[in-house]
Amino acid sequence: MDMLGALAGGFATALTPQNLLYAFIGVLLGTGVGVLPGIGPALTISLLLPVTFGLDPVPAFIMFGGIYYGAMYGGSTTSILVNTPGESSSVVTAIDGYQMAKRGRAGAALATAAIGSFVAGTIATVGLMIGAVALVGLAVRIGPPEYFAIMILALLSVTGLSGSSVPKALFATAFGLALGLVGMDNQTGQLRMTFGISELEDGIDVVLGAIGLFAVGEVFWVASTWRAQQDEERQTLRGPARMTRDEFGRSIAPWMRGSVIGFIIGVLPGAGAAISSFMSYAVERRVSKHPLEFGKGAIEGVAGPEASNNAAAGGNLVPLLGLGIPGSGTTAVMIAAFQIYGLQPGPLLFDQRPDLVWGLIASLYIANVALLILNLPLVGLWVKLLDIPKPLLYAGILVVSAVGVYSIDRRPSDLAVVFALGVLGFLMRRYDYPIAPLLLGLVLGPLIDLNFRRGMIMTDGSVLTLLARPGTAAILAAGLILVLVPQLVRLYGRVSGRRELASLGEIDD
Amino acid sequence: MTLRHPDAIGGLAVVALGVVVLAGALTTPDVQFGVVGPAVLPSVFGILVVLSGLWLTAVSLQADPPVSEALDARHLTLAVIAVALYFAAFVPLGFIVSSVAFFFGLSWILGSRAVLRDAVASVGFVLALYVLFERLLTVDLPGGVLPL
Repeated sequence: MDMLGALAGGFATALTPQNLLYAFIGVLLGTGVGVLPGIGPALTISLLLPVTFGLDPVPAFIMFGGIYYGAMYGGSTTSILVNTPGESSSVVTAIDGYQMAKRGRAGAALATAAIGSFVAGTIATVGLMIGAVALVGLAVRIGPPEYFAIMILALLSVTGLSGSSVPKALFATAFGLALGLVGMDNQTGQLRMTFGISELEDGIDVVLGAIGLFAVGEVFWVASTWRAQQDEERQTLRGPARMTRDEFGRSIAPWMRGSVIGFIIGVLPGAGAAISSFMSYAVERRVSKHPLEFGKGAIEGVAGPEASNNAAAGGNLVPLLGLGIPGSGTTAVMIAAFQIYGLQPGPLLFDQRPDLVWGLIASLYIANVALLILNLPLVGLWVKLLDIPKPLLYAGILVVSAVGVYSIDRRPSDLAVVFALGVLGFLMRRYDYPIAPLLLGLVLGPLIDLNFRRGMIMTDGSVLTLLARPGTAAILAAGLILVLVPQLVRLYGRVSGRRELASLGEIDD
Repeated sequence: MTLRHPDAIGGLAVVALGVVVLAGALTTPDVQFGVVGPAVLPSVFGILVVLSGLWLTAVSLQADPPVSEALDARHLTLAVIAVALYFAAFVPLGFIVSSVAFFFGLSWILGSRAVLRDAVASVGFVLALYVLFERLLTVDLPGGVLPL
């Protein structure tokens, strides 16, 4: 595949005035919704999905590129100015970002986050392009058994990295997979687990999962802790978002290191932005000449994690575009965006719709530039979004959720499914069950089922032959290693005595 | 040995969910197509859910119950009822009427008492969404009781 030629074609698609406008609108919407406290990237994308319904696939995906990177970036503003960030990928940024804001350096923290996101996004998009094309080349040589193994690896690692108790993570994963299989079986036409309810025959859309678990569940959570809630501490932004020469100099190396760490971790299925920003923070603290500043407002502690958070977003798209396998909750929702247009991301899409795939990749570059152009001047506007009274904010989120759910299939019963998932999401959050594996299982369930059954046909029904193929065995071994890594990371956190790191909570991206 | 730990009850609830999954899986007609029928993986997942629930309960029996955070049952109940009513009324009453009522109601439940502001905000927000989706994005929202 002539990568540069294809990319040029992608830019030709994306750079028409109309598509450029969609990219900018996408960035604005993604950032705006991403800034709102309590709304992570997966929910941002779910809520904004209906906005693209009226569009043709190409402009829709160009807009999605903008929404995706905007949503990833948006959380940083909240985590710097508010001491309780909504999304876990921003938890690490909040440690030093909020301290900087308290010292009156909010502008510098926001600037290093914005420029770092640009640097990381650009590096990651180059990596994404190379990585996805390489995977497409590899993908033609691997069969259903290997696909099956890669998905098991994704589930193993998202479960292992969830930071929750193992039985709880196992429940979330297995139940998510089971929910994913509800409805008509594509291979035999049999109805599975519908219990005679005809509305379940089409299955449970991942968007319903994201909106139910995150939006409705979040509102129930907020209501349940209403009495316990105190006024949140907030810092204000004084002056423009700008760094001093010294702060800029101190940011460059962390941006670079964060980008590399973020991209590599992002490519691994199951490891999301939260893990990568946490690793970047640990690295920065270790290599820093003034480690004692960490926790008290070190700019490196904002620059590195924010860069790695955004680079991971690019890395996450590698298995999605190259193999059609989502590795995180956020990319699980992205797959829903493809499915709405009857498309399946993966090697075939590169062949059949190069305009779309390369248009999306080009729009990611454009989104990065747009983020840089828009975010520093508009930071005052984003900060104003934090002034929306919380009750109105949550009421608005649920109204948009209802519109989003209804607009998928115009089916009132989908609202009932979302309500049930909201109750489940609330209970899981209250009793500390990880939610990301459930969402990922919902998407991977049908794919695992398909590839397992196809693989078993190839091996004449022998599970052992399936697992002993060199490719599958190697991938599954890698999965086991990935499950062990977080245990070591947690140990490392405990040894170095950092409570924030050791107790890094669940990953909900 | 008591079920003082919330995870003990949670584990039993998980077992119940797993049994539901298994019931759904085992009642799937297992037509012969290929080597693995449609009921196999659902059964595997159902068994995993049951096992995870048993595991959770077993672990929790040996653990001390955690200090549970205060649960504001009144506000939670009100919010759950509000969302249930909203979703039930979304089509019959239509998007605009149900959403304005819900927006205002949930804001009140969540503690906002700026009645005039909230009324203006709910009408304004819902109408703006209506124009955006119905007119600009051609997403057909339910009209309900309003002659739209």
